[in-house]
Amino acid sequence: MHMCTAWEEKTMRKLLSVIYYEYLMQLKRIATWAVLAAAVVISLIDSFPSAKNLARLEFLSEPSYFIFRTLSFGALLTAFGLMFLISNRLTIDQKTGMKHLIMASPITKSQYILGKLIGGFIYAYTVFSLYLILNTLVFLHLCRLTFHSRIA
Amino acid sequence: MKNHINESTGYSTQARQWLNKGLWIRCQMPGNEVRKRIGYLPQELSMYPSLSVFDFVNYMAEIKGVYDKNKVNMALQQVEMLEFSKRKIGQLSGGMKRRVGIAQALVGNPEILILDEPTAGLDPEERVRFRGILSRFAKDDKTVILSTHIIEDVYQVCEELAVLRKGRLFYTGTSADLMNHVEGRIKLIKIHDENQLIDIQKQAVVISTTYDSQGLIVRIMDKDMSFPDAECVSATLEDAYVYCMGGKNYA
Repeated sequence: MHMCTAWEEKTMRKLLSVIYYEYLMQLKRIATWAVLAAAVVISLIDSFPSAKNLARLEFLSEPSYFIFRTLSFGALLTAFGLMFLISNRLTIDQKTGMKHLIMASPITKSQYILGKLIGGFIYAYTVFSLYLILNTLVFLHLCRLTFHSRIA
Repeated sequence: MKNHINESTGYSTQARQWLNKGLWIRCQMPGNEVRKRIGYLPQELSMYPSLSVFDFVNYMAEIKGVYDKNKVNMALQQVEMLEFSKRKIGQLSGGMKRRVGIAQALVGNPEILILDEPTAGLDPEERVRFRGILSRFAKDDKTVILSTHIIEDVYQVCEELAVLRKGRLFYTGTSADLMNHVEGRIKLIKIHDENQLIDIQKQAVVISTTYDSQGLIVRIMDKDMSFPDAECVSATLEDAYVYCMGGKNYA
């Protein structure tokens, strides 16, 4: 069995620290939640199962079509917003002086850049997941209301 | 030094460090080993405004390989920022941000602290507090390398100093030794007519001028002893600095 050396453990821990704090910083940005809210609202306006939308999009009441529509339109908006939020993560450190400070610490450039990239990826994955969960919850809620109204 | 730290990626055979007893030594350590031993505070540092004080210092500690949260709290305690540890960095004043900066430099108990203009833009109270922090750090036989243009900080804190002139090392030694270079040459002259000032400037370096009800008091550095009858006053480190910089007229 391969045993982790102390050096490997320290290297991994530093990388994990960069990943964790990059993720944390991004989640704490107000812009993150603004992008998520905007994407959810726009997506729901487009695929909300209202009479008008149902007349326009005849398969909207089908869960598979709802998910397809949510992913193909709203997810694009989310990706567009996230692109802006993630794109400057390395250059902003240069501007604020943080890059100088981090590079004066016992951490390699590869740990720093990889940590930023992985942290950014997990962050984007989280926002996408939240976007899908929020849309799905709304859809399920509406389906339940429709089901109850039909029974009544 | 700063460029070396920023750019070194492997073995730094050319790295020069100013260590205890004011000696320049050539460092043969790998860059990573050097970085483990230093705490660094750059001049321009905006930090991460969305992080809390504790999170930021903890982040820097973990990058340095320090995973003990008590050590982070201790560093914050040293700079009197423990009570603000939950506050976001974006909500701090300039002086508090500088203190957070010094806390991240102190964490991990470095052997050498390198500070680039740490008191620039701070009010006098914060500067006094800052000097206290540096003094407390230095008393444990640690080295603080302070790069500053604020002469008062150097005088209050530093045992030894180095003056760079046009990018070259011009002087190394104690503040007292540097002041001895200009002792007996700093004089005050009272004049009534501003035209006299032009004549003085031709013969000596005018360091400052002060207007009072009777005229003008001119503080000069009389390098060539052109004014033997003028009132001699004790030299300050600022006078000595002017001397080091080549003695231009400043008034």
